[in-house]
This record gives sequence, C-alpha cells and structure tokens, in this order.
Amino acid sequence: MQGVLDKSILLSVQELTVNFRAEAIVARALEGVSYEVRQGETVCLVGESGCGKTVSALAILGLIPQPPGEIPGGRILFMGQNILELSEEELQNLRGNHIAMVFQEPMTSLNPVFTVGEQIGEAITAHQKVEGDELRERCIRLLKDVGIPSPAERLKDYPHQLSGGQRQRVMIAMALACSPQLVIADEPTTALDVTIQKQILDLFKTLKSKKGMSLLYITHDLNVVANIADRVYVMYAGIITEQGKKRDIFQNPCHPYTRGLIASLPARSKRGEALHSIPGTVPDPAYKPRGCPFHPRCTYAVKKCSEEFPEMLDCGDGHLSRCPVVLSSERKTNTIRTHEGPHYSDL
Amino acid sequence: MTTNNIMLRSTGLKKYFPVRRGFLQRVVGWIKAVDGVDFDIEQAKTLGLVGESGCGKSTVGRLILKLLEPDEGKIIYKSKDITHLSQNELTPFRKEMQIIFQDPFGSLNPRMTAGQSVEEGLRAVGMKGRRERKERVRELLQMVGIPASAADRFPHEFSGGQRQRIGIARALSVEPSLIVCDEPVSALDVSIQAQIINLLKELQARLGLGYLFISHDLNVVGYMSDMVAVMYLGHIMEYAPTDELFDHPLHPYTFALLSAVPAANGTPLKQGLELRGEVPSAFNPPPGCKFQARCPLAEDRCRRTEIPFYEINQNHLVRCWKVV
Repeated sequence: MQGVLDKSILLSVQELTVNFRAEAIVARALEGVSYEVRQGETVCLVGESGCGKTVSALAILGLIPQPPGEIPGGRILFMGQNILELSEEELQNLRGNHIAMVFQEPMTSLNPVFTVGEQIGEAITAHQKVEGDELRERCIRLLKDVGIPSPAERLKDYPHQLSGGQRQRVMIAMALACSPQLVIADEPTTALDVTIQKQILDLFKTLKSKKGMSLLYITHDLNVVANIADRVYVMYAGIITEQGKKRDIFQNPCHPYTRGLIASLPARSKRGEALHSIPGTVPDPAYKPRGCPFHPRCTYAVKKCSEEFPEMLDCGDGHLSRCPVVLSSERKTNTIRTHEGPHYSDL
Repeated sequence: MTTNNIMLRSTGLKKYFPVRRGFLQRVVGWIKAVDGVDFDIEQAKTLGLVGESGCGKSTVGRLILKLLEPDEGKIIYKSKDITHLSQNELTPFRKEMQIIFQDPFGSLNPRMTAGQSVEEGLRAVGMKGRRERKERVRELLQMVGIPASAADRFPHEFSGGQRQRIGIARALSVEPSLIVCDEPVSALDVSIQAQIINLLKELQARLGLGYLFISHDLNVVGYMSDMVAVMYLGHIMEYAPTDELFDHPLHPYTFALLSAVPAANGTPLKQGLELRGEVPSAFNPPPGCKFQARCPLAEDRCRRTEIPFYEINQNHLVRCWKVV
C-alpha cells in the first residue's frame, strides 16, 4: 500500500475481486487484481478473451451490474478516492469528466439517430455549462484534435456517413470532451484495418503527450502492446500473471504464459519451423483449476503448482511474475535468459 | 512465373457487383470488387492474399471455388479451364477444392453434431456404407486433433479453436488438393491461433495441399506463405515470394502496410511510409491507379492511365511505374 501517498499515482486498483453469480454457479471473473496507472503513463492490460481485462475496466467506471455481479473485495483508488464507495451521483461526475472510456465497436457505441455534433456536444454539456457558438467551437476543436478533416462540416453528419476509422476518432473526441485525466481504451483498434490502426495508435500517442493524460489500454494484441505501452500487465483467468516495463515483458518474460504468448506469435522470421503453441484452452471462470490457474497448460509445471496459489515475485526493477518455478530455476544461475526480438525459438 | 507444378491459375479475373438504387432498382453503378487479378497457386505451396477490408480478397476466394460466377477472366485448374463449367460438370472439381471460413461460430450447423458435419461431405461425394463413413469421420477428427469420442457433440460444446478444427476436418473429408483459407485464424486467441496455424502447416506437409491463404494480418501471411499477393481495391498491387516481398517491398502500398504492422519487438517491419486517409469505396473508382488517392508518390500519370504490372525479376511483379 505504499502507493497511496505517491502523488504520481493516478489510479490504483488494489486486490479487486469480482464475481458473477448465476443461480448456484459463481464465475470468478477477477481474483485479487492489483494495478496502477501513473500520471502521463500508458498502461496496457493484455490477455486472451475471458481473462477479465474488460471487467476490470468496467469496475473502474462503476459499470458492473449488481446483481449478477458482486464485488466482495478490493479498492479502486482514483486520485486517492475509493470509487467503490461513491454514490451514483458522484460516479456520474467522475465518468466522462475525470475518467473517459473508448469502446471497441465505434459502430454500436455511437447513437445512429443523432449527429456527430449533437453527440460530442452532449458529452460536454453533461458536465459543463457551455452553449451556442462556444459549444460549437469546442466541438470543432475536438474534431480537429482527433484529425478529422473539415470538422465544421462533419458536425452535421450522422455516424453512418463516416468510415470506421472516423467513427473511432469521433469516439475519442467524445472521450476527450472534458479533458479527463484518465482515458480507458478497450480494444479501440480491433475492428479497424492495419493502416487505420496505426493512425489511431499514433493519435493516442500525440494526444497523450499534448494533453498530459494517462491511458489505460486494454488489448489482446501483443503487437499493439509493443507499439504503445510504457508498462504492461499480463492477465490470465482473472489474475495478473506478470507485470513490468514493456522492455522487461518482451525481452525478458519471467512467466511461462507470457513466454508462450510471445513465442506463439507468427512472424515471417519463424517460417519453416513449427510455432510454439500453448496446449489446451482457457479455463471456464466458474471452474478454475486449483493452485496456479495456468498449470494445466504449463510446460514448466511441477507438483506444487496444482496445490498452492502462486505469490507475485520480484524479478527486479518493478518487474513482477507469479511463477516461482521459473524464478527459482533460472535465478540459481543468476541470469534469466534474455531473448532478443521476435526469435523465441528456444522456448 | 514458373510453369511447373501449377495447380491453379487465375488470369484477368473480374467480378463487378451492381449497385441498384431507387424504386425501379436501376443499376446506378458498379462495385469493382475484383478487377483483373492474375496469380498461380503451386502444388503443396501457399499463396498469401493480403489486404485491408473491402479490397476483394474474399471475393477472389469465392470466385476460384466458383461459388461466384466471374464476369471475365479464366480459372485454370490442373490445366483444365473450369471458368464456364455448369454445376454438373463442376461436381468432380468441388471435391478437389474446399474452403475454411473465418468464423468458427457461424460456419458450423448448430443442429448437426461434429461427426454429422464432417460426414456430410463424405455423403456428398457418394461414399457408400455407413460403417465405412463413420470410420473415416473418426480418422478425420483425429487428424485435426479432436478426440473421436467427441463426434457426437454439438458445436456449442466446443471452444472456438476446436470448432475451427472441425471446420478443417470437414474441408478435408473429400480429400481436396486445394483449400481456400479465408481468415481462418482471425477470430481466435493468440495461443489458439498458433495451434491452428501449426495444424494447417502440418496437414499441408502431410497431404501436399495447396493453400490460398486470405488474411489481413501480415505477420500470419508472412509465416504461412511461399508467395504473397498484396491486394488493394480489386487489384493486385504487388506479387512476390514472401522473403522478397518483406525484404524488398517496392509498391508504396506494400511499404505502408509493412510500416503499419509492428513485430513483437515493437519495431515495425519497415519504417518510413505513413498513409493518410482511408480506403476509398470501390464504387465507381476514378481512372488510373487505384491507390493514387492515398499514395505519397502519386503524379499526374497515375491519375490518367491504368498502371500495368511491371516485372522486376522472374517472380516479382509490381503495379507501379514510379518504383521501377
């Protein structure tokens, strides 16, 4: 808990647990997840579908429906204030004003019967008293900021008149409307083409440095993580398995899951050799294995892994991994293997 | 282009879709989905077809399977012209060419068990004998890594990766020699994606399959393919062996695509070229090069005349006069 007093920490999620209940079945979506976002930092939550990355973002905005959801434990501190204890009114003030969200599907997150101008305008007037020409000016400036050509004319357009990339830019403009300190982006480029994805990622980078905001970026795509992140949290089956600076995660992964993910990325340089693949599939959140949830798929697993839930262990310099097996076996020689670039053929 | 071992050759393939408007549904224009496409697929080799959404890559896949009638051009399969064959005449070729779809959730009939889905193909090619068919189904499922005991389960009981395996078993049931893989791993998680890619590679080596591998993901295409064709708005812009294309891309669009894709170490495959704007609509495109609207090198000539293919060397073709 040393982070509480640290001024540079904007968001601190501590030991967050989220369950979803359906009759007698309890799906444990998050189990004691902790992460931090500092001022001006881009943090990536990366993991496969069902690992809990989206749920942890929804919890920050108080958007977990209860029931069926329940939050039996944990704290979410935003600028020192526990979000889980706020009233609905206080949450309204927080959402959009201080924390904003960009969703994956720009198609379904925009209202088809309102113009772009009306929707951006609403995002502003929900929190601030701005009217008439001033409001219009602000909308135009926002559209300009996100790189939409001839913004004044676009204000009158409906979402269907825009392309996918432009819709996502409008979503980002709405998120920026009240200059929030934190933007949460949940797979914002997954539905887009690669050249457009590049443009949106570059847009996030420029906006972040221009406006000094922090970005919590949720994705399943390691290539995107490599492009945008400062720090990375790798999630699996509702827990954080490894965290660290981008460099540490990619060059010196200390958790078998992270290693497996990186090694299974296809690349031209690996042509001719079989890709490393992680056997099996992600466990059902209602029936997770005992001990380390990754152990049934893990090539490093020993007997202990199926019995004890692993602790987060320090690999040095803020790099933590939840795998005692890798650390104890590789620390003896005092060197953790260093991997270079995308060649992970020795794994 | 080498002439030996060519399994399928497409020359000047075109498909235009009419756009109808108004009360009388008059044709007001054409979407030029595929606008003159040439390529070869060799025996036991993979041709990667890469491009952004709407570039016509899936239409090409459907055309060579004759699921769509081409408007112009020729499809030669094992030196026989199959472009204008009737449905009846096509039957023996249907056996030879199969397809694997992107969405493992939408491409299996939810009311049929895994076994029935695979068996359907065997029936279609007239395999007699129930017991014989059942035996073959077990064999096929095992070949793709599904336990034969799971043949009686329904699609919803399988995960996405397993469903994709069943889709592959179904395609293999009729012993094809060419498979069109239409974004077969795009809907899958990273760890599962590698399993399916390995399976496809393994089956290719074992059964000598030719693949037309359609994908928007350059990393996947780079891993899978022997030759790569880059498509943009219905045209192939560049066509080269994989290493040549990745190491010496010539077309500005290929260059831009490679710049947009970061590899796992964070550095892009190529650096330097960034595209402004987005893919324009294929509806009534302007004359000249299809890429001119976004091309940083575009000049007057690109806007006036159709740009032909230039042959750089034996296997490397590029549709851009500026880089030749």
